[in-house]
Amino acid sequence: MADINFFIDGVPVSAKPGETILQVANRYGIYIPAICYSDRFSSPIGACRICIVVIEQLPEEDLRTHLEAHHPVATGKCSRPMPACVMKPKAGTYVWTNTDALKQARAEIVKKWDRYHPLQCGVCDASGECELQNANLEFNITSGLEQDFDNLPQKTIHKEWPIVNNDPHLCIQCKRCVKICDDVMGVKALALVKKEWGGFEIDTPDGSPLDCEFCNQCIDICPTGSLESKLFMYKAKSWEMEHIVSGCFFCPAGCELELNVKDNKILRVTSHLPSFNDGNLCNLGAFAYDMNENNRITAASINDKEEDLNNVIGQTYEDLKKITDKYGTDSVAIVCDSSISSEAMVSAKRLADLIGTKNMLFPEAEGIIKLDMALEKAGLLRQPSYDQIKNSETIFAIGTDLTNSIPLLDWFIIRKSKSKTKKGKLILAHYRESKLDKLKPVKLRYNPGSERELLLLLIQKLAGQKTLEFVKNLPEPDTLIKITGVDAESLETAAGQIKSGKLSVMVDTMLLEKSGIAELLADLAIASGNQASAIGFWPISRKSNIKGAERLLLDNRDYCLDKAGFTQRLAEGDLHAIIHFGNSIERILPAPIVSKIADIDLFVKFATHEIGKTEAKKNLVIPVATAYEEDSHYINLEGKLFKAKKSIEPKKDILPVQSIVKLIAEKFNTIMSPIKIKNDFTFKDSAQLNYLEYEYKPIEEIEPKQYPYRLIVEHSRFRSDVSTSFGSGPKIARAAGYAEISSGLAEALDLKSDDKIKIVSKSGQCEASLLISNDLPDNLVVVPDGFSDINPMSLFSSNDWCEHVNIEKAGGNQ
Amino acid sequence: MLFKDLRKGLAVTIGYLFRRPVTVQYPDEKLIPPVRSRWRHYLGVFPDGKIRCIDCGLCERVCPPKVIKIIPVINEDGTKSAGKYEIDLGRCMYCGFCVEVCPELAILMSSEDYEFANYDRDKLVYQKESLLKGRNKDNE
Repeated sequence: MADINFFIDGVPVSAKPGETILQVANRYGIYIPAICYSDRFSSPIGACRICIVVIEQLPEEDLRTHLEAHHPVATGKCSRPMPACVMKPKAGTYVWTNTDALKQARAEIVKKWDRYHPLQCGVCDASGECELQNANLEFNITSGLEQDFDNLPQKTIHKEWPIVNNDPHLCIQCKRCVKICDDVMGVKALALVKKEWGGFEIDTPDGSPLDCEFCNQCIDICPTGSLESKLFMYKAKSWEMEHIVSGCFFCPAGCELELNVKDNKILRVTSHLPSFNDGNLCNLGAFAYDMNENNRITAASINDKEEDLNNVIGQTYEDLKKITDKYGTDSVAIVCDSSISSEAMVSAKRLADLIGTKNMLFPEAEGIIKLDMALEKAGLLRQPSYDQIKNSETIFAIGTDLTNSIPLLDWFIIRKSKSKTKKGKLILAHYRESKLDKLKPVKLRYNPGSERELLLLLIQKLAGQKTLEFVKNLPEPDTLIKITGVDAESLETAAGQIKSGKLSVMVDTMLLEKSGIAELLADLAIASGNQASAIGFWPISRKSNIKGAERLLLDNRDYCLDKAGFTQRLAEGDLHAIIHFGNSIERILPAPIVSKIADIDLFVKFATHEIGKTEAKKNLVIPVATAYEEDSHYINLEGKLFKAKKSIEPKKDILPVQSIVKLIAEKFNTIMSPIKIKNDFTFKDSAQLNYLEYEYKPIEEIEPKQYPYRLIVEHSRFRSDVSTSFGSGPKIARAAGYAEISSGLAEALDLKSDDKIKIVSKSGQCEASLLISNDLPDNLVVVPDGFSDINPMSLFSSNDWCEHVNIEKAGGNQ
Repeated sequence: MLFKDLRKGLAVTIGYLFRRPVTVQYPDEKLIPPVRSRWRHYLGVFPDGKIRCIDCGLCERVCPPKVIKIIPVINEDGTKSAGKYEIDLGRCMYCGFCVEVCPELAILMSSEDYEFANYDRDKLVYQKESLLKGRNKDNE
């Protein structure tokens, strides 16, 4: 369709098909006031009517004289006022945005809002950034308000809601909160509800206390102080805080946000516009900011005794020297979390170089590296961008719940589903329900553990007879369908949709650690018939710098020690010192490995928060700064470097990792240059796509009798790294860790919701309160990671992806 | 004439000798300041003793030398008031903008209490407690 040419306030403009008058005006920089409109929504609300304009259709010759006379509107020939956010322009029409009549009409609307709006600007947190205040100023409303507080309707102030404080007296009913909750988040937790007094209020649809994702979106978008964060309430005035634009380092999406800082303290987080995440934030990004203050390690220590930082650094050097002299440099291993900054990772590598060891272990990045290796062999190793998801026709997610893992991708997909032009297709292969099921995707519900069989089925559907060339021992489709338990009809649709065009594959990194998954995914992508450039692989993890770890390991392949190698060397007694960059090694390695650390001579930990304790013969703890306290870089999922800016000064004796490693380097008589993180990793495009060979082996798992259930670790949207457990917002949203089982199993074991249960495995046990879900298979126990009170890794006995466990009522046996 | 200049000068001096003195013998004698003069600040309270300040932040904002600092506190009934209120009288320029802007009549200035000189600048930073004491006859 051709562009539509028309005029706004006499300026010739042209609209693209589908654009509204307001959008065109915004694009041309012509100001039309609007309250309920936001670019963040997929469609306008049309509730406030502040953006009204009049439209005039005149014959060509009339108009020329009309414009020459600079006369705003020819009376009598205009339409009645129309909202510009909804109206689509017609060719050759003249839109007038600011006539006297319109000004007056807008002022009348604002006066209507003012009528019952309490004069509490002095104590209102929104004061200074309130759009109602701005509107009053803009339309110069100084008199004639006729405020009527005697007949104030009795509205209910919701103080009982967690995190969100809802005062409907301040509400102007623009419905922005309702819209963002439905349109962007896909939650529908808020609605405009009719109340007994006869009017409408913002409330939950059923009137129960709010129980949602607690994502801050409604608070952030509320034009007045009607919805306010309880964590920020009465802490500071909007104009007193410094707004620091930074990147969120709680998950690898790397959303942009603004930290509001006053007196060396982060008081709240607001969204930053324009940004690739459209200003959207999740619970962690918006409310986990005070993890910086809680449970911090404040002093360096040797064997739990507080010591001066310089002493500990000196001690580290001396002990390392002793061990390397005695056992050789290869006896030192460096273990890194994948949620530390790129600076910290490079520092770790430089420390490894100083010591002369190449034993670097990134336990959480193992899945992503496996995928990269497979993709490289297949000729598919590329870095997809977020635009690719927005434009990709088919999204195939396997073994991952995107809502809980990467909320940003969830928002992209919801946004896509609302769009009229780029709807795209969605295939969700998972063993349970998720929020995205509301979008009516193709659901492939399989038995957990049968991912390989599911992929084989899909490959077979796509590649046909060719499959036999690269898959050995391929069983009959019927056998596979029986193992996976998948619906044959959905399988057919899914295969058809994967073939139809551009493909984005999303897969959980925990799943990728399973052998064969990476290879089969590569085969599936090739079998889809796409070119390499039309295929994007998204390894999904909760660890914020998993991509940084990937880049570091791809650049320095000889530094790569894998979990199996580490376990073996530890068992053989080859390792005598471990240096850990991260908070808690027992959360990234299974329990039997961690228990072996007790036998080694030296354990050095560079940590921010106090979580758990690892005992070796000698323990050194060095406190380091969080990403709020230093300028640090992370690499996000689309491979872009982003910066988490320093926003507050750290306490005395808390230094960034790189400064500490620099001090250690000085002891080695080396001067370390400042670290500059560059993102210059290039992927070589390969013309040839090769199927990867795979030999199918049926799983012959014998379920041990005393451990009849399977334990699977899932992500929670309220936690990422375990340090986020110490933020108030996530803690309010989900106070403690839990164990989920199916309702059938709960009935069989006579357990009720919120019962305390004990999960027992070969290598350990832990207690958790019970959550009952209807969508889980019966032999499954699901525990989320990242909660400070439950450590699922303590139950694992090997590097396997699942563990056999038994559950019993806590305290029942005693 | 001889000593013309000297005599001229002495005449002025002798003339003043018989006039009423212009200065006062402070601190034995004290002048009454004008009724609308602006001296020490104090904080207003309600009859029940509750502080009037709601921490709207206008005085903080309007203060030209930026000497006012308020840290708010949430009361039990959910309202906001000043938990800490601090004015550095050593840097204050006594312009009275804070009094003028206050919507709650929570900060006022005494027209009489000007005697708060100190040897130490730090002691001129008045806290909420000392600001509340002040002149209580106006505090109604």
